[in-house]
Amino acid sequence: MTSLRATWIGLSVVALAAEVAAQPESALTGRLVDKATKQPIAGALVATGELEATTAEDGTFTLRGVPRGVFELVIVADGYEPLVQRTRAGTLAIELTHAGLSGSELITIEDKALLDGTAEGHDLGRDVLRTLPGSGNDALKALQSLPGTARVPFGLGGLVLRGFSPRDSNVFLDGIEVPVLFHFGGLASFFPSTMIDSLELVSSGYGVRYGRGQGGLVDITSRSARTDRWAMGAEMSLLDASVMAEGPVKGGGLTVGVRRSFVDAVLAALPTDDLTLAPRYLDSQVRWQSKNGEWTALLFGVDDGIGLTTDGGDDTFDARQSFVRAGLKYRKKRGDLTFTAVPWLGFDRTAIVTDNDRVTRTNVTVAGRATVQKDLATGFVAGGLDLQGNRYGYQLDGETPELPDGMEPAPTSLTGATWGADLGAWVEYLYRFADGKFAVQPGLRGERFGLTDEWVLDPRLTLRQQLTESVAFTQTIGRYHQPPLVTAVDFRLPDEPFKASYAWQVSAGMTVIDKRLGGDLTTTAFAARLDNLAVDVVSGATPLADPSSAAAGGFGAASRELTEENFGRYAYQASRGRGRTYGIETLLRRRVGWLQGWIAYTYARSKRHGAPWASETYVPYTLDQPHVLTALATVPLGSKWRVGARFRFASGNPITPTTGAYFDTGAQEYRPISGPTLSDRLPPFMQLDVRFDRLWRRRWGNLKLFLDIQNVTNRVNPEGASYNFDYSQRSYTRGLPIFPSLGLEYSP
Amino acid sequence: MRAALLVALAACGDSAPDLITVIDEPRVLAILSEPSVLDVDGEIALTPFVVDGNGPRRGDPIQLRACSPWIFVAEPASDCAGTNALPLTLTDGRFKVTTAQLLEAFPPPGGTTLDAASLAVAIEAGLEPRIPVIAEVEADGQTLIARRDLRIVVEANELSNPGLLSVRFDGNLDPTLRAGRDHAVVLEFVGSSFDPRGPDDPRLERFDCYFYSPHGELAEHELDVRDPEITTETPPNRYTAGAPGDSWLFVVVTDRTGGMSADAIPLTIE
Repeated sequence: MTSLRATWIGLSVVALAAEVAAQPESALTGRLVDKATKQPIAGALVATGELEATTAEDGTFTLRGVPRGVFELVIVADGYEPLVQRTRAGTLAIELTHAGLSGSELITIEDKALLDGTAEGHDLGRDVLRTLPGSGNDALKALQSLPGTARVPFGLGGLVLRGFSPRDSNVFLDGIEVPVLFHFGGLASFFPSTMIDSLELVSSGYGVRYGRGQGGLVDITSRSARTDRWAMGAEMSLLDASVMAEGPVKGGGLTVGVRRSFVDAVLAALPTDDLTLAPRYLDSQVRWQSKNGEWTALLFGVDDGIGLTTDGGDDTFDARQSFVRAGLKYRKKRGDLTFTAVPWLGFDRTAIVTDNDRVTRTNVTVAGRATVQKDLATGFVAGGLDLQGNRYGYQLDGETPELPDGMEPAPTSLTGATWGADLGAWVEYLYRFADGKFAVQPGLRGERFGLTDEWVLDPRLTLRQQLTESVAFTQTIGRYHQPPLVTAVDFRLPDEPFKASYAWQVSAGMTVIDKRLGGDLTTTAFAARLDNLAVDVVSGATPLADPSSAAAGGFGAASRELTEENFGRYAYQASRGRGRTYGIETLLRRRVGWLQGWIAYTYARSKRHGAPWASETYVPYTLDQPHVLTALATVPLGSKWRVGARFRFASGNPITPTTGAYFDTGAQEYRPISGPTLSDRLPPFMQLDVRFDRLWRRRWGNLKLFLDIQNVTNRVNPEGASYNFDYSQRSYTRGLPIFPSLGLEYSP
Repeated sequence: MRAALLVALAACGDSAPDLITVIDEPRVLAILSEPSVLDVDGEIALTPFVVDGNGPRRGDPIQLRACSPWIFVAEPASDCAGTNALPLTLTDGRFKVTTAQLLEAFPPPGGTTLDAASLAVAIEAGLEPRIPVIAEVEADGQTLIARRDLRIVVEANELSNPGLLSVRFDGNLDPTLRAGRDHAVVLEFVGSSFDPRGPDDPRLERFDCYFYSPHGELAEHELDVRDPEITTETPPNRYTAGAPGDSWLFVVVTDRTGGMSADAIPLTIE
């Protein structure tokens, strides 16, 4: 695991504290809380001289053997300004202040490579991520800068982790499963960054606590509200505006927030003869947490749409997705036993309307997660249950999908509902030995999938070895089952039951930390084999004549990958596909003076097999990008300014080339003749993003101005191929042009 | 559905200009047939309509082959080859083939046989057999490939190809046009060449008319005669004449019952 959690120049301050002179022994106890919210701060370092302690969950700490008389105490905590104060032995109540811009660190180099935590994960602080160049002030969008993550066309949302499809990776917010990570169009993530406490990206190889996904995992933790007084923050950019308020209420703290885009209004005001996309999004959040932190209630929702308008045109297109989640989290720690339960309710609705079609889907979900963990001297033992019941309602009006041989046509209007209940049970054990230098973490997860009426069993194992204080190795192996999308079973083949897909994943990683050089290096090799993937049964056209097919590649196929989870494929499918991914990723982080940043490089291959057009050989996956390189750096300019840049390079997505064309005299147009399927690629993608931040500290709060410019050189990056009338000339669909995001953020 | 979504998502992309109406090199615009469709017990004669900037071409080496109706022909080179292709012979300047020859060359899957009578029964029951025909023309050192899907019907003599009656330029039959000027081009058809839409639909079929020219600009590639009970003419198509000299207007017309016709109209640009 690589930890990137931000701290505040703590290490050097700790070194200063070591110089305090030793005197006769005594004890210092205390409690550390957030100055604004009065919430306890866990995991903070409290030190004097050579004595160190880490604050517990409730913020308390004890230092035994402190000098008698006055001595200097140093306190360092993630996201807070460091504190050095003179004190005496006894009991102390300490308040830490949230850090502003000047203290924000892009990377923190840990003391040693730790064995704790989730294998293969990147644990990131909110303030680090949302201020990355090119992220548009959005923490979740910045995940795309991490290794193992393929580039997504047009900066659209979606995470392609280690060659898996976006639908293969799951997103959880405080234990609640979220249907989509990004608003439609990918302009922003579903949850405002200011309400995120931390997030973890696990590209693959996660433990048995989570299921229902064969790819990676994004685990988001929301932030507690302040409890000292009410305060309001706001942010406005060229895309949207948001406002958030937080403060004390009876029994705890409450946060409410709302965000609304106005891109659609801006586009609607611009006169144009061209087709115009008008995306819009709205999200809102309410979060309450009890004073003791044991209860958390969360209500959040999203309402997105994207419309197509033409001046005087008669095309109709309107797509809409909405979801609401309401959950209650209970967490109780008694001694070495921790119990967590998260029951939640969900409502999803998607609708797409075109000239001839109307598809509406509504899902109602009742779900819950419960976990019990007992900490042991050598690790822990844990177990849990997941339950999810769904009612999938649908109304499909319009053209019927292309028919397989021998099938009766489906009716042009289908209305109904499908019920499915999924159950998961798991047990996990972590055992450390050899003075904690080695760890073995086996787990077993059993699941039942209602849609496919299957019971499955997934064993997973993680091994870790810490050879020296600065070198650690991790290996994972496991099986991951994933239920089909409900849209995949809209049109069923007779006598061919649909099955859950699954992946066998293996990985082996190494982390090397060198504090003297101010950097660390993480390298992970990974591979996976996928089975029972859903593929279209019918393929009646050439790849190029069906530009939205996976066989054609390019932007049409990529769009389909990114929208499938929302709207489905509207095709007869069967679980006949197979896939394999493999590669190696590396992340090198360095701090050179004030300049800090990282270079992430991934070599990854992802291939698929089993569709009618790829029944005899493996072909590249739609978003197969062998080489992906991200380099980014930031540097503070004084205490008020900061500037950063990000450069990205990625191999072009696969496409099927043309070898010629013939003239269809009936339609009086040319039809392409395809070359070998997905044997060509779009030109490589290269983009430079820059970001500027300016902070004003005032008595009434902090005001931050940011300018985030994507593709600052306005480079033309091809995202798809199109052809002239006789397919003799290829041209490219241009990707995102220069895209500035100017915003103003106020925090009390 | 899917196409609409993708069109929307790709709306901000560049697209290549549509130059399909400009004939600046050899093209096979049509594969003409007589009769318009193939009878279950009949013969059909086929003639590729090849043009270039100087008008209709003649004398180019041409090969025609019929393809199996039982497989989906997506790529002519691979899907219409070997046992799935029947080369057509050239007789009196036209390629001819009979339904019997096709049934013999392409027996249905499963080892069954099909004769004219049983094919007629199958068509009456709803089968709509179509025979893809591929033309390969060697012209100016390149191989031009064209395709037409021939219908097989029970009574071919009841159907006809679209019959072009006249081409009018600004209301006149005289094809002398002014360079750089816009002219309204209207095609008029023989009323009797509009077939009924089907056995149970006595309304007349509509024609799809396609326009091409080596010089000048055509506003529309395609115009329809939508309602022949009201008019047998196309709406006016705007043609902006090119530089002075001789030129051509090529028209290809398809109907909804399987017929196809083509014509080349010499133009004088002053």
